[in-house]
Amino acid sequence: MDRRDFLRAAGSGALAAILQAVAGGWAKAAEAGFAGLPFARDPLPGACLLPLGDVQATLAAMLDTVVPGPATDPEGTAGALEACSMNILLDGSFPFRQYADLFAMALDGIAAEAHGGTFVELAYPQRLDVLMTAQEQLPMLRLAFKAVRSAFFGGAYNGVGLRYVGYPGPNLGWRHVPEASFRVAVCRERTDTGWMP
Amino acid sequence: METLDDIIVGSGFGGAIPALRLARTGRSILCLEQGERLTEKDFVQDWGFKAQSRLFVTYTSKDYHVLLRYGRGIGGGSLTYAAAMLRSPSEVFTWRDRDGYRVWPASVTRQAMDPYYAMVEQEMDVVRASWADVPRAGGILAKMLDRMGLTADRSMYPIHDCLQCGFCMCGCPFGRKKHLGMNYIPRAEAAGAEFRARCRVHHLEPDGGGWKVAYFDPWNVQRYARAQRVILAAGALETPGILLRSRPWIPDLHPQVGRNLNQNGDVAFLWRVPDDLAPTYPFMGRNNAGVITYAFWDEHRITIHPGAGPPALVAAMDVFSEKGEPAHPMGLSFKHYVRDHYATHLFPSLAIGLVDGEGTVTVDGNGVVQFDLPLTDRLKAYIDRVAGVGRQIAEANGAELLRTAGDNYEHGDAHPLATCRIGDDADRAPCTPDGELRGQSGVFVTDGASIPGGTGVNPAHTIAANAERIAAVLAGTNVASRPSARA
Ligand SMILES: Cc1cc2nc3c(=O)[nH]c(=O)nc-3n(C[C@H](O)[C@H](O)[C@H](O)COP(=O)(O)OP(=O)(O)OC[C@H]3O[C@@H](n4cnc5c(N)ncnc54)[C@H](O)[C@@H]3O)c2cc1C
Ligand code: SF4
Repeated sequence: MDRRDFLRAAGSGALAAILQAVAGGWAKAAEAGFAGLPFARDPLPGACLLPLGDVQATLAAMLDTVVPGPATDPEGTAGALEACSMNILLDGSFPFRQYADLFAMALDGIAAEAHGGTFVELAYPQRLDVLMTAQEQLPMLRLAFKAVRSAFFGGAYNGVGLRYVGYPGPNLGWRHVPEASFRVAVCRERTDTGWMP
Repeated sequence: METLDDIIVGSGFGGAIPALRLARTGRSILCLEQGERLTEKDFVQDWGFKAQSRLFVTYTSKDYHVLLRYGRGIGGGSLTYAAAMLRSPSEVFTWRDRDGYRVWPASVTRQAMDPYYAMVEQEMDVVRASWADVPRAGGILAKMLDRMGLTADRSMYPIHDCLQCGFCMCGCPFGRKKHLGMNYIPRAEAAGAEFRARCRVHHLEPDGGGWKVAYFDPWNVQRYARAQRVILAAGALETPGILLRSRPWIPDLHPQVGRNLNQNGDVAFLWRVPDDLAPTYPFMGRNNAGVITYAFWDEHRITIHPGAGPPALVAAMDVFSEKGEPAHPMGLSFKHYVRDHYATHLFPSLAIGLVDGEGTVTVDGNGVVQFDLPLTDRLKAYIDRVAGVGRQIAEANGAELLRTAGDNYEHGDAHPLATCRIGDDADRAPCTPDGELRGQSGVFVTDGASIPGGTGVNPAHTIAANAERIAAVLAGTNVASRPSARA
């Protein structure tokens, strides 16, 4: 097995384990009767965990590539880190941490081979390239990236992503807003009942 | 040990309906439900992990390509579903799979189901959306079809006086969506049924002529309850899970339990509409956006319904543009694209259609449910057909279809079926047409697991009507006189 194969296998195994563990965490939460939810408490703005150490710096760079924040986005707007996505990775009650080393190692391996540096050393376009390669080699990575995106755009930990896209959030109903519906028939219907015979 | 006439596992459509019908015959009924008892006061407009994980259980396929989830609580999926309640077209009931096998029993036709659909509509007060109830996103899809000379039909819902807040899938906080906790369940309780929350069933054991049900109570203490009959309605993932965990006590379990997993032919995608159809405002209005199109049913056996939803529903999708931007669903261009288009130019849709169920549910060494949903050639060909239909609509309207490519397509995550299916063929179908598990007299399946194939439309109404149909048999039949189960 050459280094690339090793990294592939290590990355694949790690991600499998991570996602398994995440799913396991959900299942455990179900069984714990909701008392021990594995998710971080909703933090106040500014309470996102910060990366400490090399491995965490790699993970942070990964998050900042999937949904770039002020460090990468020339517009200076919030990204995955500001949406507290790091909390998912570092929360002690969330079973991800133990695989973080392997995950970072896989990214560094691809980064070194393709661009001659560690993942954090790379510029944004190269980091993006590494993640694209990584997800081609390990299709389950897509699911991890999906989780990061939905944490940001879904307001999983705080509302920065929701505000970013202009999502108005909780409301008392839009029914009286003129734009909420065309209110008149806009298409011919095939059935009288709503369902086919 | 507690002894009852019937124990029901799960309180969604498959569980709540038999509970009412059987309680009304005077039988003693206990329904064990792993989730909490939730009411409007518990529903918050919050798409965050914490709130969502209280409402849903989520599973990842073994290869991490697919997520499937179901709603939990007393009322099951009805608490948090989008509430489209549609009768399946006749062709669903005569559908034949790749081997030419007619998946529905010959006796269960649309005509035979109609009285049971009607019972559900009456109990749940299902009504047709008015055009004023159709959210803007639904109206836009209807307009696109109209421009092509095609049709779109307003859907049916147990929703009354909707405020169009856009949070149906968090549970309606305004009590406008009539979930099972507002009709079947209180009526069953009034007739003497007990619904016990936070009780998770682990397995079944045969016990004399009846069954022992092993479950964990809210304090995680393992308990047993005993009944003449057990009705499994824990959903298409957990019902086979319970049976597979029971194997040490039921060594002759039907080998097809857990097979034929069908995700209802769900394929999710996004539309980007041109300026003349903007804004989409996909956050305004009920999550199932008011209409469905049957325009592609005759040729492709596909229906499409638009959705309205939060940004996560849109941005979590692994979509890319076939025309350039966004080239991939991550990074700066994707972030900016979602910001610039979500509220004004994007809305999601779900195609549903008839395709063979080739997935499998298993349990691991710890008894935890696992599933596989391989991307077979048949499934791939079906997805390509859906994409072709989507592209046709987009091109005719100057819109764009944003979809996933190749092996990584976006399944819907909400409609697993068929893992313990009814059917005429004793080798292919674990359950008899009346829902009894072959070889295990007195065990019945009445939920999405029993539905033998795709429903062509959103499945809850067909699951409910089928549960009514089986409950009617159970309410009038003595188990001991059912030789079919011993086949
Ligand atoms: C977000 C979302 C939106 C949807 N929207 C629609 C829609 O608009 N229209 C439509 O037709 N369908 C919709 N569906 C699908 C619909 O909700 C399901 O098809 C339907 O609820 C399935 O009914 P069921 O009786 O099979 O199981 P469920 O309704 O899932 O009920 C199963 C119950 O069993 C409980 N349970 C599971 N395991 C155990 C155990 N071991 N012990 C005790 N209890 C257990 C669960 O907690 C749950 O309450 C939607 C689904 C989702 C997730
Ligand atoms: S959109 Fe209507 S049915 Fe859905 S949660 Fe809001 S008020 Fe309730």
